[in-house]
Parts: sequence; C-alpha cells; structure tokens
Amino acid sequence: MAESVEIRPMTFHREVLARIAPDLYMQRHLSLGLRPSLRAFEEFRNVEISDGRLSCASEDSINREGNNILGSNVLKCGKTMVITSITGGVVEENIPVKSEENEIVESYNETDRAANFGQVYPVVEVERGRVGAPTDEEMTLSQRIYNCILHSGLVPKTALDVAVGVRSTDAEGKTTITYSDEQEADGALPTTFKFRRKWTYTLYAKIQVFSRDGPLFELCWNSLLYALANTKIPRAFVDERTTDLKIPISMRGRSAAIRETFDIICDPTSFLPLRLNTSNKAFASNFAVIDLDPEVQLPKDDDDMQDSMPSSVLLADIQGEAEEASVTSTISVVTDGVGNLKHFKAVGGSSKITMDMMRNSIKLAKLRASDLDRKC
Amino acid sequence: MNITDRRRILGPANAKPLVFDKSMGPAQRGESEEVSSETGNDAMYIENGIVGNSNGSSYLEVKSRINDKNCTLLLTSVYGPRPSRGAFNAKATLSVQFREVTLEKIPAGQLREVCTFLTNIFNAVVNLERYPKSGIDIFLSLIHSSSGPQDYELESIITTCVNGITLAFVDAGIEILDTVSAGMYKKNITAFMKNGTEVVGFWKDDDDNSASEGIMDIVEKCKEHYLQNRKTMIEYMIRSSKSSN
Amino acid sequence: MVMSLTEKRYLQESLLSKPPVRPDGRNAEQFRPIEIFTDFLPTSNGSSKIVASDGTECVVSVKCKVVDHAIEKDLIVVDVDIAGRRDDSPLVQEISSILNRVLLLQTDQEQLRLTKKYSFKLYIDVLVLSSYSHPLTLISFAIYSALNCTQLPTLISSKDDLDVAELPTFHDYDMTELNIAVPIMFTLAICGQNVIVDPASSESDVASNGILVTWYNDKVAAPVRTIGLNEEYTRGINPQSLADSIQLIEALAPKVLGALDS
Repeated sequence: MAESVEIRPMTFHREVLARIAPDLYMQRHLSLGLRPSLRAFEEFRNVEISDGRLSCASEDSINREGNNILGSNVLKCGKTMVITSITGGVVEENIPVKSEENEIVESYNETDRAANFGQVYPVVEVERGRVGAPTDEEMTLSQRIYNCILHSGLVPKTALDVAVGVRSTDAEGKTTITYSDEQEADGALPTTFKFRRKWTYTLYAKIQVFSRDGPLFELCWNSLLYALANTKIPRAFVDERTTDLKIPISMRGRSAAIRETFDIICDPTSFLPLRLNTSNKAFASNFAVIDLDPEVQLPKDDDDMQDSMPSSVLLADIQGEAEEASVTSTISVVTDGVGNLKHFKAVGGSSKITMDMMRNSIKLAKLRASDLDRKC
Repeated sequence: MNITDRRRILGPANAKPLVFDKSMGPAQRGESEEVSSETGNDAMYIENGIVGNSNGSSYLEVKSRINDKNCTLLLTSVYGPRPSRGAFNAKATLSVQFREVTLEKIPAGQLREVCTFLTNIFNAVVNLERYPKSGIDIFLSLIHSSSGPQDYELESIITTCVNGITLAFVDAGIEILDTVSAGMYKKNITAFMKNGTEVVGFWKDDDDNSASEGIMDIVEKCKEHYLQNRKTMIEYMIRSSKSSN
Repeated sequence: MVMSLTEKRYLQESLLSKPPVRPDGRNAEQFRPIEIFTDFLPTSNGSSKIVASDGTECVVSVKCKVVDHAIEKDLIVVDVDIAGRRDDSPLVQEISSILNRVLLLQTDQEQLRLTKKYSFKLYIDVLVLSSYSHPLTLISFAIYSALNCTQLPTLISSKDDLDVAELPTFHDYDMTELNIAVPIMFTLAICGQNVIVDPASSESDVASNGILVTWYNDKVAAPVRTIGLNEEYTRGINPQSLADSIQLIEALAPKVLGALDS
C-alpha cells in the first residue's frame, strides 16, 4: 500500500522565520533590495544624542552636589541606548629627584608614540537580564575602546596635567585661590613657589548599553567620543597651609622628615573643558559583506534584472539578530571626515571582501563621520 | 590573596577619587528654597518599553514635590517568565537586581536590603502561581538620583523602584494582583495595594521629625502620596493603550 | 524541617484562628526560652553566647582598638558570619548591613571617646553556629548582652591631648565598664489578623508577612520595616497589623530588657 505523500508549503510568521532561519530571512529581504530593518544597503540609522544633563559641570545639570560626573552622553540609535559617564581621579606622578624645578617638561617622545597620549579607562556593561562576571563581549569591547583611544591620540597627555592652584586665607579669614596659569595671563606677580610634585588626572568611562541590537563597538565609541567632547575637568588646588610641609618625626632615636601628602581639592564652581586633539577626533562605522545566494532569491518579474545582481553586497550599520547571525565578514572603520583613518578592522569570513568594498566602506565612513561630527 | 579584578580595565592603582570642596560649592546657597510647600504633586515622566530585549520595561523620571533638587531617573526591565532549571517549582521565583548606572554611591549592603525589601513586596503582588517552573528577574538601573545636601536619598529611590517595577510588569504582561504603588512621607515608605486597604511593604528609616508621630498617621500620609502616584500611573497606562489602539 | 503542603495548610489555618494556635503551644506574645552566657571568652573585651530552645546558637565577641576618630568616623563595626552561608549571600549581607547601620546611627559614639583625639573602636564579631529561624532577634539580643558586659581598659593619661602629642596610656589591669545604650530588634510574624512574636521556623514558613521592629531608649525606633519570612505565603497585610505589632513591642520590650539585664 503506497502512502500518498502530500507536500504542503509551510508559512511562518515574520518573527518566527527570522528566529529559525535568519539567513533565509536575510536573503529574501536582500533579493528585494532591502534589509530586514527595511533600510537600504548603504543606509545608516539615525543617531540621537544628548548629554543627559548628568554632568556636574554642565550648565543645566540636574544635580551638582555629590556628583562627580565630568562628562556624559546618552546616545540612542534605533532601539539601542548607550549611556556614558566620565568620572575622574588624581594620580601623583613619580618624578626623579634630580629633575625637579623646570625639567619636568617632557620632551616629545619619538620612539614611543603612545606615551604622549593620555588614557581613558572604559568599563562597558551590556544589559541582558543576567548577573555575574563580565561577558567576553564586554571585556573585548572595553579593551578595544581602551586601545583605540590611546592610539588615536585623541587625548594629549598634557591635557590631563593638573594645574594646581593654591588656596590662601588672609587675616580677615577671606579665602582666595590663585592658579599659576591665570596669574601669568593677568601679568600679575609670578607664583612665589613651584610645586615639586606633579599630578595628573585619570579619566574613567562607564558605558552602559541597553537593548543590544547588533554590534556595539561603534555605538560605544561614538558615545564615548561625544562624552569626552563635553567633558570638563575641575580646577584643583591645595591649601596653602599644606604646601610643601615637612613634618619632623623621630623614629627609634633617628630624626627624619617626611613630606606631608597633599590633599588635592577640586573646585566645584570652576571647570575647564578637556582639551582634545580635535584633529584626531574620529567616528566609527561598521559594515558587513554578505554573499547573495542565488537559490533563495525571490522570482523576478523581468529576467534582465537577474543578470545584473552582484554576487555580494556591502551593508552599512549592522542591526538586528538576523543580520548579525547571517553575516560573517565585517569591516569596522574609525575615521574622521577627511579620511584620517584611526582604526580599520576587517574580519574575513565566508564572504570575500574586495578592494572595491573596502574603498567604498571608507568613503561611506568618511561621510558618516562628518555627519556625526556636526552633532557634537 | 590577590583579588584584583582582571576582567575590567581599572586604571592606575594609586589614583585617588576627585574630592570637591564642600565649603564653597552650590551647597551654600539654596537653604531657603529647599523647604517649599509639601502640597502639590511630584512631577513624573513615564515611558514604557524602552529596553528592546527585555520582556517589559519602564522608564521613570520623578521630581519630588517637596524638594525640587530631588530627582530620580530609573530604568526598570523585567526578564521572564523564563524557564528555570533544577527542581520543579510550583510557583515562579522572583529576583530583584539593583545597579547604579552612572555614579556608585550607595553601599552594597544597603542595596541588598533594598533588593530583599522589594522582592518581598512583589512576592505578595505577582500572581506567581500562574508561572510554574519559571523565574522572573527584575533589573533596576538607577541612572541618576540626587537630593540636595545628601549624597543619595534611599527612600525616594525605593518609592520610584516600586512604581517602576509595577509599570514594567504591566508592560511585560505579567499578572499582578493589583496596581501596586508606594507613597513616601518624610523617611517612611508604605507600599499599598487594593486601594490602600492592604500594606505590602513598610519601611521606616531614621528620622527625628516623624519619630513622635503614630504609625497610623504615617501610613495615612503615605496613602495620600500613594493615591497620587497610582493615579498618575493609571492615567499613563490608559493613555498609552488608547494611542496604541 | 521541610513540611508538606498539607502540613503547611494545617499550620496556616491554626495560626489564622483567633487566638492563634501555635505549634509549640505558646501565646502570641510569648518568646521561646533562651539561655545566655556572658563574658566567657577570656581574650575579648566582652562576649556572649545565646542558645534558643530550637537549637539556634549565636556567639558574639566584642574587641576594642584605639583609633584617631578624625580619620575613622565609624566607631562600631559589625561582622556577621552565619554557618552554612557564604559571606556574600543576601541574608548575611542584609543582616550585617542592618546591624551596622542601626548600631552606628542609634548608639551614642560620645561614650567611646577617650581623649580629644582618640576613641575606642568596637569590633563586634557575630557567629551564628546554627540557625533555624530568622536569626536577627537572637543576634541583637546577643549583641545587647555582649556590649553590656564589655569591659574596656581604664585611661590613666590626661583626657586633653590636643596640645600635647601623647598616646593614651591605660591602667595595667583596671577595667571600666562600657556604658552605652544598645538597640535591640524584634522580628514578628503576621498571620492574617494575628501578630505573633519570635516566630519559629515552621511559623515563618507560613506567615503572611514579617515585621522588624527596633527598640531603643524606651521607644520604638528606626528601622521598622516589613521583611520577607518566606516566598510562598507572602501577602499584603492590614495597616492595623503594623500598629498592633508596634503596640505589642511597646508592651513586651521592657520585659525582655528586664530579663536580659538580670
């Protein structure tokens, strides 16, 4: 007895198909000249930014007291939201005793280029409804952002030096703060003493991502850049009474003098913008290369279109589960509007990345960067 | 034992946090404006469904009626009901996680207290029998909180958390017994359900001002605030369901 | 002990009846018998051991150190260790956070002041050897009795040391009794309309909610809050129950303190 086999076509709901067969879902969209997000191949998502009024230095801050956020950014791109906050710290530099006085000024170090640039310490957290140690993605993102900031030379090391002022209290109990650089500008008396020590600021960035929907490096990078652009560092001073104080102590009969540790105090009313190397300011974009599978193309009405279909296409700004799952070859570009490349990463997966595509991606990234730069 | 965190980039070990001079800051002015009238409503901004990959989420921005410097921004997301591994549970298990997104000011022990307090409230509120063998996880992300002279005010944060979690549950479509909301009076918080006839959570912290007041008076004052908050929340839900239809 | 669903239901029904019928035959406002031994650790300044009738056992030891109070603001530190639970488990973290805050906020730190520059800092170590019900009440009783029998070294140098740089010196063997008011905490279980004190573990398992009440300086003090005793039977409570439990503690606390002091 022969069984009759009846083949019935199965239909799935859009979301279900995207889940169970992301590559098929993707290819079907591509054959229509569209992407699952209904964007064109080389179309980017719009980016909304604001500083979130979180920083204590910003004019219309929602809070100033007990707040030590120096710069902030809230970036929204599609559903994804990235909140970046920049906080700071102070480190006392070790200076050899010989090179006191004016020799502190360092010469430009030709051999170790990265030594001339300041660092930012980022911690990326991606909310995904789980608790525990940072995931691989979070760790690699943080490390990659750290490396890129350092090597892009965005933050010059000198921008992080603390120009220490002195707070003095006169006989009437009135306190004044004098900063050495301000005095020289006024042509007033030069400072009566020089600090024998040097401090630098360290910057920390906390990057929190909500609704992850695709690769994150570019969003985090851009958000961090906007945050750094509005970062203001506070003026800092030490109290006059503690300047170069030596305390005699006696220890087991021998007398010695130890230098008091200074308390660097920040001025909550006076801030200076963080001086960035604007020529090194670059924005990130990502691209994907995907092969078109001729087998799953939707039938076309006119045949001549079929021949002109390329074998692979370049997609800008990867978004969504289906795209991320079906794409193996990616390009990530960090550049500014005129093409100063700061970072270029190409991952060759199953699809071949041609020279043409690289050229095209850099061209698009440049356009994108000049567009993003205008939002600053 | 070496317990340095090698999974995060922490920066130099000898860095000291920035210390702002308290004596000359904006704290000096504004003593008078702080104590404004205790009447009027909190300004509350609500938005649901911001977090795409969660089952439900809510974003709350609350400006206090009493202290205009008191502002709390909280993002709540609910994940679940999702399958839990291990032994069979006839009821869902609830967990609450609290995180400060920007500044980290609240000690870990107090965050724990808040989490267990909130878990206890919502154990009584969520219809856990409906979701056997599953887990419901609530993630609270405090984006910002300020309260003038203090570093943080736990009470207004907890109140916002209760309201935020309720809204996120509504957004996630998880069955709750009633629209639970909390009201605050000085340093006392009461979370109510069933139109203020049932208390699901009570929190009283150190406060000299209300020490002499009887507990029933405090609960009554919290109830007024609760009714206001609940009204705002329900109005938002009706508005948003109308606009989506 | 894990109870079956039927057992739990039976217990719940009996606790809901008026007056509540408790499995060990206690009244609603009756505590379990406890035994307290004080000052049994020779190397610490004060110590106590408390054993409840259900086998819950808790040891508290108080040690002191002289610190510069300009640098160290918090003069009391509580460390809680519960056998069988990790240090970072929610219960341990919560209990130690509550105790730290209550003792710091409520106790008068002036009593620990030695000179104008130095103070005693108290380290309170709590070890719960075995616990069957919410251990907070027992821990706070144990801390209370340990602090009340704490002996601190007697200062013999001058109290004013602002101008003279000298470290405090102490008498070789004379001790002074520490005299500070210590808050104690009660956990109550609410079953329907009934409020019962000192719930045993079986009672906690079926309670509708729990309340933590702090008693300090002859009145109810902060924190007062609802605490979860179980996950399964947690319900909303009548506001009146809050008032009832505070009334109950107001009536009971002086008696409990009388018993602890004797």
